[in-house]
Amino acid sequence: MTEKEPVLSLKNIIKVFPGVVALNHVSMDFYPGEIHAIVGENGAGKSTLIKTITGAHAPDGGTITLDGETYSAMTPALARQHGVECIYQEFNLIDVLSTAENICYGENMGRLVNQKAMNEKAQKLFDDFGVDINPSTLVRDLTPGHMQIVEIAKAVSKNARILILDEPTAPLSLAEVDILMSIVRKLKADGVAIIYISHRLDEIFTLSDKVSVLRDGEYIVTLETDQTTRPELIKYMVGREMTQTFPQRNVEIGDVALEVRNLTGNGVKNISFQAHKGEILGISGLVGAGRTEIMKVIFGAEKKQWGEIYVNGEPANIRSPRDAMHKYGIGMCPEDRKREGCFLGETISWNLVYNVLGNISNRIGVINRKKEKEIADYYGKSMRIKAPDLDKTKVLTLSGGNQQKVVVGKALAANAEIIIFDEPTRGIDVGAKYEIYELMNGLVEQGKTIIMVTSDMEELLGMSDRIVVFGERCLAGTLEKVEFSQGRILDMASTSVRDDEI
Amino acid sequence: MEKVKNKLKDMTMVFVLIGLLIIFFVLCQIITGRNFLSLANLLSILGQNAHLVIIGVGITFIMLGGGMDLSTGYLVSTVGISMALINLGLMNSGMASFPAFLIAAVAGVALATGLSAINGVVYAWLKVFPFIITLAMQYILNGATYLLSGGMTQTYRNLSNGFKILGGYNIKIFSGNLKTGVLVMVLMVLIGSFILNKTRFGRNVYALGSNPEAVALSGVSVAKMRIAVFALAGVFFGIAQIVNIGRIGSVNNSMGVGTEFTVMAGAMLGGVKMGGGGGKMSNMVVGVLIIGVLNSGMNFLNLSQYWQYVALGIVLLAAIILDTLQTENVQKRAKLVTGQDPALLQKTEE
Repeated sequence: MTEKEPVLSLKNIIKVFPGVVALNHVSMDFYPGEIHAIVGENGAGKSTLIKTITGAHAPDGGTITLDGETYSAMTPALARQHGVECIYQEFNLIDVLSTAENICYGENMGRLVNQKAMNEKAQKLFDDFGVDINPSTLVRDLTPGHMQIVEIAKAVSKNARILILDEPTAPLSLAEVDILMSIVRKLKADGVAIIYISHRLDEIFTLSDKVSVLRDGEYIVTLETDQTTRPELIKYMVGREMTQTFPQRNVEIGDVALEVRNLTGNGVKNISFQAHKGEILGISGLVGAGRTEIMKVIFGAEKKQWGEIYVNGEPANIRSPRDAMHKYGIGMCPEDRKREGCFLGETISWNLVYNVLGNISNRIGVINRKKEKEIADYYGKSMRIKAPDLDKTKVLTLSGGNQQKVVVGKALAANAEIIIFDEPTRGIDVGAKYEIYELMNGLVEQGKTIIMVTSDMEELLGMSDRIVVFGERCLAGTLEKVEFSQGRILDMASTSVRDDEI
Repeated sequence: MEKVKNKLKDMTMVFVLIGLLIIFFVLCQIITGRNFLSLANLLSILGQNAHLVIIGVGITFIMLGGGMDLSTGYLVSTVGISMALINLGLMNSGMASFPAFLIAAVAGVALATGLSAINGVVYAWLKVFPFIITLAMQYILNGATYLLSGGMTQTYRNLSNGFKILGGYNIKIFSGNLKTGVLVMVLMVLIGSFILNKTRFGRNVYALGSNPEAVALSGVSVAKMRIAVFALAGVFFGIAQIVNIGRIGSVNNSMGVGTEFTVMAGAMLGGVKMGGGGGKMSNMVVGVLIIGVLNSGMNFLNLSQYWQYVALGIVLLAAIILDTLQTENVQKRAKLVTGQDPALLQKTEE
């Protein structure tokens, strides 16, 4: 294949976001008729790379060569003109239109809508793919697998020459994955260059010709798929130096504070683990593994289907976040702090006391200003929130790190003994990260229990006492401190154990 | 400096109100020679708008809680007809005037609370922006007023004097007359502000409008709050209609129709954000009074009602433009403080 010219070639692509280098001098070539897989952990830069190719992001450096023409940045229109089509995890279909109308959308098929021509065109594509979809069915009535196929058909009908598939199998059932793979192989035979992104290493070994590894925004290596093995690939994905230091703590691990047994709900199945007093329990898994989802079940924000939750050895009946907070002392610092964690337009004090308004107001609900100020001052100080005036400064104007401290303080004010931290340091700078770690250490030193969901491998290994690894919407295993290794965690997390019965 | 600036910004609409008063004073002096700023006229403007401000207290709760209400106008007219029927019915069956008034008034407020709570229940259940829900309620109540009055427009007179005492009784102050409704208005605004600023419920109203997801994750029932907000607003709607009946002295089917838009426009004009996210009771009062002054001033100048509509539209548009510009400034400032665009942060999170 080396004698072929690459249809797309990236050279020294750099993309910097505030506080993070998302792509650092990444170079890659893509050839027609080749399935090129890109792998890497959460946050390795895969999505940013795709967005650079499709024109959604303009790189800060480097060049993109398409069909021999070199650009410093793509635009969505330019990418499309060159036949770059991307299929994201979320479908870009108009669900109230028919499949045929979706496939032909944006195409010039004359001024009047010609239903018959559209249906014929769609039917021909589906026949080629060997799938049975009725072109006049509305998209909203299709299964996710068929929606995926409609997306691909839409791309093909636009003469896609470079097709990017971002986690295409995530929403699909096993049978649908097989259909998808056969379609992808067919497109390959037609000479389309395919860029295939997946967490599922098994799929990559069955399907791809080449596989490139990204790690922390750096290009690591490109391998011929049939010349490599799963352990080798994992070694490349995790071969990172641990550069960050973590504050030390000296804590006696106590009794079990929280235990879940076979917990099932919110799309996640049979999760069991124990968290002890004085312990930071790390929860690891790839994006979409269902970590946040099961935490919401524990917190009572989503319905439990079955399974048991025990708090301090007693069965806990948690039916709402109110139960979790006030009956069982469970606090939650949500992943999306802007949307779920705090009230951006209100002041710091306002946020800090919000969960405990019941304790600081009298019978008819009038708030005691003095008690309010005491609580706000206490948590503002102990969280070391940096702001001109707790009573006047709106959370909106704080940095990410200080916003996170407000979220943590808000959860703690409700006297939480068990605190769930979902991505506690996402999007905040290094200094603030260290402060959050110190804060977490301080909490476990007081005998509290922390459950930390994180996609940051260093943080996971550096802060956890034990690690629970999630596979795909199920439990993959638990690791004791002596068993910690990046490779082991990634291996467990990316083994696809699929169960379509949830 | 920053503080002074913020204070001034909060006061923008107060200055607009004062500016309007001065402009009309000058124009009236020149064109018609009448004194717009006479005590009599100022008190009369307050009297004419008292019931609107009380409705505004309810609407403010709904808007701050992230909702809207298109049914208010027909709701108050249904409640008005109902109160008249109960009042007259009781008196015809031999009850004394005052007890008949009391029963009618309590029943009216209860009816308003119940009807508004229905809006809240459907909103809490369907979880869609209450535009269509309250629009449907508007149609239902429009029909209901006429069904209650026997299928035609009716005017009910000779009601109990109690209505007059709460709304239309004049207290002589120098050369002007202060209507009792204005006192009720002041009381209602104070009660509304108290609930909003000093109580847990008030905090939750703001929280609901600002971020319902975070409210739910904080262990507060979003559904119960939504119902409670609409029910509370209903109480104010009922009281407003008593004041209005007292002011006019009779009840007819179209009394109150259209007030929802006047009041919502006033609240927005004053700085209460549609769909939640901030505003104060005082903002609404100032906004409703601006509209009141505008109408009164144009009446003084003998301009037709149609010119009043045009002027009101222009003022409202101007207020929204001003508000949008200010919001953008706040966001720019937020960017400066954190050193990065809050929106960008989201993107880095891949």
